[in-house]
Amino acid sequence: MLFATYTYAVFLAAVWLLHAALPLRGRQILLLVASYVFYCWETPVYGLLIFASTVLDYLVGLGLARTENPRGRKALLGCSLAGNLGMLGFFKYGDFLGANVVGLGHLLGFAGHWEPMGFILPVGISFYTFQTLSYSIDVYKRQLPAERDLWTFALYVCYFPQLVAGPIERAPHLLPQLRAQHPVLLENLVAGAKRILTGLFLKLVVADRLGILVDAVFASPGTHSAAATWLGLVAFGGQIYFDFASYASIAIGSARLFGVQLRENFHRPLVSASIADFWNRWHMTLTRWFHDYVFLPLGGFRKGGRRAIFNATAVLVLCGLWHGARWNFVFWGAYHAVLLTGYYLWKFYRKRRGRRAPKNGSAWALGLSVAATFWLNIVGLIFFRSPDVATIGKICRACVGLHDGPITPFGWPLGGFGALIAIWLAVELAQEYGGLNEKWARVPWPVRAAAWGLLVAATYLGAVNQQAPYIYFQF
Amino acid sequence: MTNGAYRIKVAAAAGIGLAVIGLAWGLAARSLPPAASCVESARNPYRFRDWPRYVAAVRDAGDAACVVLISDSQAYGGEYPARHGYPSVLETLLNERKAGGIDRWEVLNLSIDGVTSIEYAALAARLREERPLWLVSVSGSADYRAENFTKGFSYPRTDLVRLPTELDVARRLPLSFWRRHGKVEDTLTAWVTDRFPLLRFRDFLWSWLDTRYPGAQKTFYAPRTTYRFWQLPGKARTAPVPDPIPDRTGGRLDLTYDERSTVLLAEFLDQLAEIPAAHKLVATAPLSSDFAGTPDGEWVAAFRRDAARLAAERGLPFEDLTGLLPPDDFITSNHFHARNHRRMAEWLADRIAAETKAGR
Repeated sequence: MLFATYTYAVFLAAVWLLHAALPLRGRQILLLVASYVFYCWETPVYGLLIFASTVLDYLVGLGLARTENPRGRKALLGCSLAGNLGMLGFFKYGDFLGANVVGLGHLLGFAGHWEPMGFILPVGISFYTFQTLSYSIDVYKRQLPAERDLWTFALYVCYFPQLVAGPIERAPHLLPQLRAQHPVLLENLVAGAKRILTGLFLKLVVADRLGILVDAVFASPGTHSAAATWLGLVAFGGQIYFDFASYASIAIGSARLFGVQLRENFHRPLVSASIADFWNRWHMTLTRWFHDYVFLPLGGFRKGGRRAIFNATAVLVLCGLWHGARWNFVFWGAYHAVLLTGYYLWKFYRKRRGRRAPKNGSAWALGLSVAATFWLNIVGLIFFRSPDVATIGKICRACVGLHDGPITPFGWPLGGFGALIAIWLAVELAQEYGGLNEKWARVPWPVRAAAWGLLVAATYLGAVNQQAPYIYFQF
Repeated sequence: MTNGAYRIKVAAAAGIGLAVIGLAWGLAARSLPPAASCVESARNPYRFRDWPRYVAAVRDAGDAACVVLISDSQAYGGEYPARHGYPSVLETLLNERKAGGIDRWEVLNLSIDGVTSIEYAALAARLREERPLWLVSVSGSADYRAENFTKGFSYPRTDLVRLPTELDVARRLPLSFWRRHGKVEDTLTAWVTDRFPLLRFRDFLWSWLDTRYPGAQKTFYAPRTTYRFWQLPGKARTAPVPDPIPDRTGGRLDLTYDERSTVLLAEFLDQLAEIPAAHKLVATAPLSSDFAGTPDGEWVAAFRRDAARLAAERGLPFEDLTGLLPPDDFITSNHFHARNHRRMAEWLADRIAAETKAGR
């Protein structure tokens, strides 16, 4: 079920009304049933997968709570890892691995052919397997008591607002909220409605509109002018950010209606002051997951500079691969690993030379850092968006004005997209560095109320004709 | 802030927000032009999106003998001004000849570019309320392509799919139609749009902008659409822009015609058989070739066989017009020049005149 649809509006309203009328146990059961209905709406059979994942980690959790034997505990954790990663690997990476192994075999002189399995990737599998895995690892590390109630645990795994595209929640944060009896509060309704309306505006008006330019540029790569190609890349930066951030916003808003507070997933990542800063702001719940469960166990920064670079590279390549079973995502992760390594080496160099960044750096230096980080990110998106290596080449050539044939002229609408992008960046910069949000909070509330009314009208009038699917659903 | 004060503030803020939305709604309602008269709408080549009113034009035709033509892009005739298309020429011929001894004829062209079997079935189900003198259906294998089989209402490009959300039309359509096409979200959207005409204001607004700034609609609002939702007078403030948005399908439709297509065709003919018209004609669309020896040829042949058999089973008069027109006067494999429009109109006028006369 998609968020920006009439179906979801009716579904959410019905679940909320029933929820408000039920006692705690009834609410949990209602939300569990609603979550399965939400998930199984398009393809019911994949509900079995999420149920299997739930039962596996529930039993592993109970087993870990009962045994003190280190080997037994390791074996139980191994079951969870094998089950969840096996399922993810089979559905998401099976064909990719098979095709590449066969391709490698060809290089070594072996004959063979890989017949694609042709499974449709279950929606949200990358999100909920990471969520259940984090639970088992936390219980294994004794950082969390095992959940004894199957239905509460099942609700934790498939809580519908964040089920298919995050934020990826952690059990210590979400489980206690799902166990609690939340009174129906007006504050929650207001806060939730604001987040939902903001998310709808960002998705329908901004992300999907930028997507029109992106689709045009990537549908016939290399046939547009350098200006149109660059603008298309910047538009893709905006599209993917607003597409995903709008989903997170509607998810957080929907959960808030039921009194549950989900974690934030984005903090204006495209106006970050450095690559390291970017990774603290982009898809925060995923990067935190990789930090806690991959980077730190590998040694983090504790085992020297070279090892730290290896660890960061491994995490970023895995992070790229998490997005999809294609080489372009691996390249994207590797590209960011190179950038991050360069950033840390530069910092290390400055430290050795005794140069420390001033506490209040000049606006010029900050502006330069933000601009450099922004453009480095935009260049990286060539890998992310291109479906194959040939497209990467065509886009790169078009970026420097090299075309194989005549250029498709874009006309005045290109300026329109440029204006839209300029507004977006100006608002983001003003929010991050100009205190726009604080100034907005000081505006008299009737004016703000009127502005929310205008936002609703603008969402309706400005929404594109046909909604594009959420980009992160494919991951 | 106390709880009571907070509640009052929230209520007041909600009131202000709703007042702003209401103001915008009111402005939209005042700006939305009224629909043209039904008969005029039915001749409108720009697809004024108010199909339930199109269909009601049969009744508005008054004492004129009414020919309802259901077809696709061929009769929609996007290549020429509407007066050169065969539906308009047919009307002129019938009136000039006083065909069948009738003084006044009205041809209602309910044909549409890119139509699918989903819309055909809905339109025919709605037409069961009308009593035209003639009902003519001219369609091709592409209108029943297999990929239509499981598509929802968001797949067709027209809002003819609003029709099935009307209870009477919904009841006439078979359960199998609903099982295949009745996706919840699509049906809900069609239902809401049918009941609240102001929800189409967005289409109007972007058509208006497109009149002033050619390219605005396609580049910023509806990249998959190649026509204006509303035809509005206006002076362009910018030069027309080239089309930088390629068709996402690359212009290639999957035209496979198989057993699923047979089901779609049979259900459409079931609906046609129920329309209380005095005379009916089911015909295959003229083509520049029968494409023998190609996959297209196999699909066209299968469609011709199916159409003949299924029409006969339902007692519907059938004509195979595949090779009726000279191939030299075709623009593409299925769209033709004005000379062929004239030939097609003359063939239909002769047929209508003869049968009407015999039937009276």
